[in-house]
This record gives sequence, C-alpha cells and structure tokens, in this order.
Amino acid sequence: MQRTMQCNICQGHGAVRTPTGALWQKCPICEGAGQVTPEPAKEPVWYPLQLVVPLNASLTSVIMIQNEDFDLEFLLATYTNAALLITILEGGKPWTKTPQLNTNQGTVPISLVTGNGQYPFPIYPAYRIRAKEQITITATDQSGAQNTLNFAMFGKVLKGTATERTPGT
Amino acid sequence: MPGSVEIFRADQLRPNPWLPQRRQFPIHWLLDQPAWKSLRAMPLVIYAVQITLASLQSARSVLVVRPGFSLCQITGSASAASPADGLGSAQVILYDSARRKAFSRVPIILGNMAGSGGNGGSPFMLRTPYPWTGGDKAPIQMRIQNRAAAQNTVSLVLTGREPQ
Repeated sequence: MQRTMQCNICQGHGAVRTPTGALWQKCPICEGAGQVTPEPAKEPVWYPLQLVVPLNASLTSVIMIQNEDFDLEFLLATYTNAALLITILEGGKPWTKTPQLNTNQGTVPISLVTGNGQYPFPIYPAYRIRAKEQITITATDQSGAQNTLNFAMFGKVLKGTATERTPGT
Repeated sequence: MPGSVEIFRADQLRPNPWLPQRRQFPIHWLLDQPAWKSLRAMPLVIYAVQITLASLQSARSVLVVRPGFSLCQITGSASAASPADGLGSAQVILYDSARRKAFSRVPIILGNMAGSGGNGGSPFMLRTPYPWTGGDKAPIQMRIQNRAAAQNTVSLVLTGREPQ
C-alpha cells in the first residue's frame, strides 16, 4: 500500500481559493484528494552506447541499468548513415517487433525510434526499467559502409529504489 | 462542492497564474490524465512495418498486434522524393477492423519533404493513447499508397504499450 501524506497546499481540504479569492477551485497539487503520495527523488542520467558497425553487418552491445530503477524519457542517437536498423531487447524481451518478418523480435529504422539532442524521441509516459536490467541493442548496417552509432537513453534515476536482484528477474 | 471551478481544460492555452510551472501548458495536462498514467506499468513496444512499392502502386497489409496494444506515437518514412503538392510521397490509412472504421479520416502523410510525416525527432503524438483490440482476428489493417513515380520503400512505426 502506498504511503500518503496531507497536501501542504490545501492543508488536506482538497480545495483552494482562486487567485481573485472570489471562488473555490480544486487543489491543483492533490487534484482534490487532500492527500498526496510522496515520490522518490529523481536524478537525470544518460545511458550512452557507441557501436561501430562494420559495413552490411550487425553488432550487439548491452546497456546495464545500474542499482536503481530508471524512468526512460527520451531516446537519442547520431549515426554516420541513416541506413541503419536497430533491435532493442529488455532482459530478453523485445521492444521492437516486426510480426510480418519475425514473430520474436524486429528491426526498426533507427531514424524512426530515436531523435537527437535538439529533438529527442519522447517516451510518453516515462517507461520504468528496473534496476540491473539489461538493455540489448543490435545495430545492422545497410549503407554499405562502416556506420558509427552513438545511442543514448535519457531519463531519471529514482533514488532510494536500489534492490537486490539478478538481471532478468 | 458549491462554487467549485474545474480549471483543467484541454483548450487552456493561456497560462493560469495559479498553476505551478509544470502544469501551465496543455501538453502537461494531457499527459497527466489517468489514461496515460495507466500505461506506465505496461511494457514498451515498437511495431514496425516496411513495404516496397512500385511506381504509383497501392498495397494493403495487416499488422497483428498483441490484444490491448495502446498506440501512443506514430513515425514513418518513405524513400522516394515527394511530388511538389505537399502531400508526401506515400500515404497510409489505418483501419481498425474490430471497430470497422478508419483510425483517422485523413491519411498519414510520409515523405522526404520538410513538414510531412513524423520521424524520431518529431513523432506524431496522440492526444490520448488509442487501444486496439488486436490479436489474429482484429489486426491493424493498412492501405499504403505510393504517390511517387519511382520505387518507394515505406516504413511505418507504431510505438505504444501492451499488456504483459
């Protein structure tokens, strides 16, 4: 059961006065509940990965989420050539799927699932990846030349969520 | 309660002096809705379809998604150059076979012209997640039209969440 505490904006009443003081409105912080659920502190973090993919070949590498849960918010990448396909698995379960080609996992054009620093690909709502989970990235070149991929996951680490677990459980 | 005022509206474009900064703009209001919150615990999934069409050819395809798949973002691309009419080099219409209706009345426009379609940097984001019935009996049906006078490789990526 989640622990709750009294909303300190409306003092638990669930309503506050409008800016003019003439009317009452629902408390914007607790949305009328009078109680709020404390959330763990969040700290921004990047999980980067570089893959130098040989021409017309595939290369796999792993990002290991550290000891605390991670809320994924953005996917970013730069690459030498956009003729690059990507497969992403979380602890062996695929995020990318192409049911017409393969029932297990898929390959997706990198430009359709990642953005860049100026326009990152948003993951809404933020997706929680558990501590010590493995994110496996496989990049496949189709450009016919060596392709350097810089991939990054940006999000927030949830402080105080460190757990003792083995990957994949 | 008497006299209470509902202040959260989707069309609330002007900043409200009472709201904290993070709640000022509609996008934040939308993403705070219960419909979005309910997806947080569901696994992320990225469905992709790729099809190569000859000059001016149209094709139909189906995408079998897991039952309960909630669509959040759409991205796509087309390899051929777009005609100058601004309608892209390929257009995609999605049909919801379970509800027997088109997903959208206007097609998804894909192409290599600025401002058409959506890519990873600027995906088309749904206001609220769209749940598909899914499964073998209710796949996502799509009609893809190549508007270019050249061979065209069309990719469509549907990002969302699906039940465990």
